[in-house]
Order: sequence, then C-alpha cells, then structure tokens
Amino acid sequence: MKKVLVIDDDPAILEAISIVLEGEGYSVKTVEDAQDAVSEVKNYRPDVIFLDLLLSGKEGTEIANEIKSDSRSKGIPVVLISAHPHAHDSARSCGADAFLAKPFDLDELLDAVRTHTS
Amino acid sequence: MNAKKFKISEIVDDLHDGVTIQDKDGELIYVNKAAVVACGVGSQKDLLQKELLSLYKTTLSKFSVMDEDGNEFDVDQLPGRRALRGEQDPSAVIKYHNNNDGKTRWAQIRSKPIIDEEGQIVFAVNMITDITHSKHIEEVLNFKLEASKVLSKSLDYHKSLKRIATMAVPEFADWCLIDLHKEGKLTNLAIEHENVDKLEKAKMIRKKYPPDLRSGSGIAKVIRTGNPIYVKNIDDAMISEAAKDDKQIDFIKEFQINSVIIAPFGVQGKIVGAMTLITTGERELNDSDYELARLTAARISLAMERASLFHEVTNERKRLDKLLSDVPAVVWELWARPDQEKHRVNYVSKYLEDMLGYDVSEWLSSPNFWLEIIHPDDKKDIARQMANLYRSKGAGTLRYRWITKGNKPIWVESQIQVVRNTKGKPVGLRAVSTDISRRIEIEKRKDDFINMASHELKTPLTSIKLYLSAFESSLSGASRAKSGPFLAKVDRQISRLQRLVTELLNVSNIQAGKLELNKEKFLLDDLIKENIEEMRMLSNKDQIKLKGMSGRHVHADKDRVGQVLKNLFSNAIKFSQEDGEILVTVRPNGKNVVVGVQDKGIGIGKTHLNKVFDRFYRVYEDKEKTYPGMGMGLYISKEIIERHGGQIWLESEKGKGSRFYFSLPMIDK
Repeated sequence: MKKVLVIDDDPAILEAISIVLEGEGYSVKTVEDAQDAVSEVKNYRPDVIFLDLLLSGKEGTEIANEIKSDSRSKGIPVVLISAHPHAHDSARSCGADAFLAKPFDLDELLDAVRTHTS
Repeated sequence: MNAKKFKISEIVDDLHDGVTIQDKDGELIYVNKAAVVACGVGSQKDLLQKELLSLYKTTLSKFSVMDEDGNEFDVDQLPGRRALRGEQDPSAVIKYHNNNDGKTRWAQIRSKPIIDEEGQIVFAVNMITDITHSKHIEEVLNFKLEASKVLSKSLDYHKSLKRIATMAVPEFADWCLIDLHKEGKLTNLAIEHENVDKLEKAKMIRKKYPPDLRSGSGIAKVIRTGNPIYVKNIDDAMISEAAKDDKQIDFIKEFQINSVIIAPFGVQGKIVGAMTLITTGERELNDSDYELARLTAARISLAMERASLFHEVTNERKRLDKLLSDVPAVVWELWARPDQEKHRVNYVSKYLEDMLGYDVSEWLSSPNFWLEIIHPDDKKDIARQMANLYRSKGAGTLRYRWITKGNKPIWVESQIQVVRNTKGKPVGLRAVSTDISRRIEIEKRKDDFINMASHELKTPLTSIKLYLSAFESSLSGASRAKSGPFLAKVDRQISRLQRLVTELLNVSNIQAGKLELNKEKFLLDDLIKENIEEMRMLSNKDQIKLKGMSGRHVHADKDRVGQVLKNLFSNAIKFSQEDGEILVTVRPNGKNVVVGVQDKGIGIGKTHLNKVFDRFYRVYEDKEKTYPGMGMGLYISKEIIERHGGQIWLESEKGKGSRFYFSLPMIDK
C-alpha cells in the first residue's frame, strides 16, 4: 500500500484528502503542526508528500528545502499545494517536484498521487 | 545793373553771412552788418548809429564763447587765429551766450589766411554763419530722441520724468516743472533751473504756495480740463489772477516770468500730471516749443500707460504664480519633444520644492529633469509612453515613481496635455503631477486584502470539492442515478465560485503588476476549438458557431488566452436570447490574428462602449434586466491581451448585439 503524507495547517483539507485517498486505497498520514513535519517524514517514510506552502509556524518552502537536502528523504517526491498566486515560482525554487493549485478536485489530486508513486 | 558801380566793401557789408577781418596780430579791422547782427544786436538803428567795428567789439566783450557741448572755448583755437598761424581752411562751430539779452546762439566760423606777394600772412578773413535755427532744430530732435529713449528704457517713470526735466533746462526753457496728480492732490516730482539759488527759492515758494487745484487757472485748469496752456507773454493781470496774495505776486514778479507752457499727460483717459515750461526775462517760448511740450507730454502718457500695463501684467503673473504654487501638485510645461535634447522647460510650479525637494531653478536649468528623476525601473517605459502620447497629440495619464531630492521614491500621477500649434503639430506639453503615494498605499492594502481573501476562500473550496467527490463515490448505484444531476449542479456552482475567486485574484494581481504569463507556441485555432467545445458541454447547447481558420501560431499564455475566450463566450451567452446564435471568427490580419465573438444579444449603448473594459465597470440601465457579474472579466481580458502586445475592442449597438474582437501578434510569416 502506497503511503501519502499530507502537511497542511487546515484540518478540513487534511480530513478531506485523507477520506478521498483512503477511499482510493492509499495509506494517509496527516501533519497539522509544521514543526513536526520533518521528523514525520523520517518516521513515516512516505512515497509522496503533499505540502502546503503557507503554514503557520514554518514556511512550506523551508520544509521542502530540509526534505530535499537530507540524503535519506531527498528521493521522496514533494508536491506543493497552495492557493497563493505565486506558488508556482516558490515551488520551483525550493526543490519541490510538482505544484497543485488550490482549489483542486479529486481527479487532479489522484493524478498527482499516481504520477509520483508509480 | 552795373556791378562796377559798387565798391567791394559795400557788397561785403550787405552779405547775408557775417564777415570779419583780422590783421596779423589778431586785431579786428573789419566787420560787416551780418556779423554784428549775429552777435545778437539785431537792431538796424544800432547799426546806423555806431561804427560797426566798435559796436561789434563792445558786444563781444559781453559774450561767453563755448564749444558745441557748452564747454569753455580756448580763444586761441578760434579759426581766425589758426588761419593767422598758417592753417589753410580752419573752421569751428561755437555756441555763445549773450550776457545782455540772455540768448544763446550758435555759429559756424570758417577762416582763410590772406597772403601778400612775399608769401607773408597779412590778414585772416572770417565767415560767420548763424546756425542757431538749425542748431535748435537739431536740439529738438535730440531732445525728442533722448526723451523717448529715457521713457522707453525705464519702467520707473518717476526717474524718467526727472531726467526729462533735467534735459529740458536750459535748452528749451529756463524752468521745467513736472507735477503729478493723484486723488485730488498735486505733488511736485521735478523742478529744474540752472541756477541753484533760484532753484532753492522756487522750491521754497512752491512749498509756501502750493497750487490750488480748485482754482480756475494755471496747472489746476490744465489738470481739470486736460487741455494744455500756452501763454507767450505773461502780464501783471494774469499774475494777479493766479496769485493768492500780494506777497506771492511779488515773488512771481521777481522771477520775471515771460512765457509759460503747461502740457498735461494721462493714463487711460485720466490726467495724472503736467509738464510746465517757463522762460524768463526776454526769452520767449514759441509755437515749436509748444508743439515740443505737447509731444513730450504725449510720449510721457504712452510711457506711463506702458508702465502701468507692465505692472498689471506683472501683478497678474504673480497672482497666477501664487495660485499655481498653492495647488498641491507640480504644474509644469515643456516645449518641443520631451525626449529630445532641444526642448526647453518653460515653467514648473513652486510646489515642486514641497513635493520633491528640488529647486525650481534646478528643474528649469536641466532639459530632461522630469525624466532624470524618474525611478530607474520606470524610466524607459515612461519615456516611451510619453513619446507615444506626444505623437498621439492628445492627453493622457502616466503613473510612475519620482525620486525626491532626499532619494525617496514617491508615486505620482501625471495628467499630460499635449500642446499643438495652429497647424495641429505638437509643440509641447503641460502636465499636472500629483503625489499619489498615499492612494497607492491604500490600493496596495486593498489588493493585499483581496489577495488574502481569495486565498482564504480557496482553501474551503478545496475541501468542499474533495468532500463532494468522496460523497459521490460513496453513493450506491440507485441513489447515484437519483442524485447525479444535483451533484452536477453543485459542482457547476462550485466551479463558478472558483472562477470568481480566481478573477478577483487576477484583478488584484493586475493592479500590483504581478500578472504572470507563461508563454508557449501554439495554434490559436486549436485553443478556440477546445474552448468552444468546453462551452458547449457546459451550456449543453449548440449556439456557438466557428467560422474561418487562421492556421497561425501565436506565442502566448495558453491558459490566459483561454481565460479571455471563456470570458467573451460566457458574456455572449449571458447577454443573448436562449438560442441566439454566437459566431466566432478567426482570420489573419497583417501581423496579427484577429478573433471575433459576435452575438445577437442586447448590445451596449454608446455611453458605455469605452468603459466596459474598466475595472469593476458594470452597465446599469434603468428598467432593464440586471445581469450577474462583478465587472472584472473584460478588465482582465483587456490586460491579458495588451500584455501580449495585442488589442481588444468592440462594436456594438443597443438592441443589435455586440461584436468583440481581439488581436494577437502571430509568429508565422
């Protein structure tokens, strides 16, 4: 079973993503507190990470940087999700593998998961 | 008549010019009648009674001889003496004053030495021509010229009038007075006479007996009527009439006044003063002096008129200057093309100093100052925009940052008006530049808010969409069939909400200048077909028809151009009848591809035509059905198309539908 880690400070998003992805047969873990994000990546060893750009406490780009600069986690694809209009640029510069603009629908989400777990 | 009957001496005696002969020691041995007359004796009786030579000699002793300019004349330099010293044809012009009658005369003297058989100089013959009359004409001309010069040179007419009084004495009169009249009061501006003692006395009397403006004579009459006075010979009766008491009569008599001329001068039909010329003793003022006085007074009037106009203009200019400097904006003017060296700064209002800290002189002395102080990031663009505006010969508004003297950038908005000459050629521009820093700051805060709000709205939208998907997949076959249409409706409304939020964000990005374009090369026809298909699916109708093909590629942001198409399509649908046909055309036109979207809907009235592309502009008409929308679509479309170097426009008539067009530069040759 493929493992998906979702990091977002909005519980509604976390719950919604969990429900739909679990429904599609994925194992999902959610992280609400940005401070725990990096350690959860190491513990959980996900196949793909969905990371919100604007988090309270820590910037999404900062977390992406840390993931990508650690040899143990740098192979894990990171998909940045954001409603921010300039998130495209941020995604490119922090080493994230893809970008998904909010609001996205189920198909877009599944597309992204499939692309990065196959 | 037989000439031989006359002695030569008799002929010479009656010559029109004066003739004198000196022996080799310089002693006069002969004078003719004309020479005696030239001395100012003048009476035939004198000439008959006395011997000419002795008469001449006695008159001569009362002479003071001067050169042309009135300086002392060295007697040794008289032509007769020079002829005796061997000079061939010496001549000189002299001015001489007869102390007896007080008259000044001019003469030209030409001399010749007479040589005997042995070559010795024995006599000098002097020819004396009285040139007093021509000299007088010359002086009049000179005075007129000088007076005009003085009057035209200075706008300080007090100074000019004093100078004229000085010039008039003693050439034209013994006395010259200039008085100014203001609000029923007479003030003496100048009083001139050659003799200082007499001058002081006159001033004293004038002080003691100031002219009474209520009296019916003299200067009072001139000031009141505006007509000049000329009296050739003043008599006692006149003095008595003008004087207040016996003592004043005595004073006036003491001055031996003979002729008087009083000429008034005025400004705008009001008499503001008069010039008085007086001669004393035997000296008379004649008709030509009267003419001269009137002419001079007229000149004074003109000069004063000019001075008063000048003051008026100066004051008006000061007033306008004050007005412009009080406007809380920099008002400026440039002549010739603003981006070219040869242009000239004409004006900049003083508010420049308050707004930007630069000196007005600093701005005026540097030809491109307005451009120099533009923020480096804005400079090139603004220079280009200004040049375009200049060519368009119209008016426009430019927004940019100016760097203050304190090196701080401030946002300004400049309203520019191109100035055209009579042939319609642009020759310069006028601008009003306002500090809009605060407005920009408020706008920025608002844009930040819209930015944040749309961000915040998108997050719950994401959850809703995902929950909806989860809900849909959780439904069993039977309930799915039942709920399907409702779910589709919910989905469509969510998409609509999503589009609105996106547009709101677009608007705020455009305002912040942050609308991003991700350009790629693609076939425009394909994008149009795709979008038409999408529309058909959404509206479930077949009302959109495509006509023509461009077969051309464009280098553009596919999503953004798609956004424009969607916007134009949905507008056409929104404002059309249920089945009103919508025709989409594509055709190459020069270097561009032009896309048209035509509907047969309600159309747009003339007054709204140019405004529909403005931000948040919506067409409201009374008694008309209102249509949903936030007035963002066309604004965003215009921005997108223009950012691609294209244009967007429309043709429409109320009730007859609208035809929207946009052009995009194509890359195929």
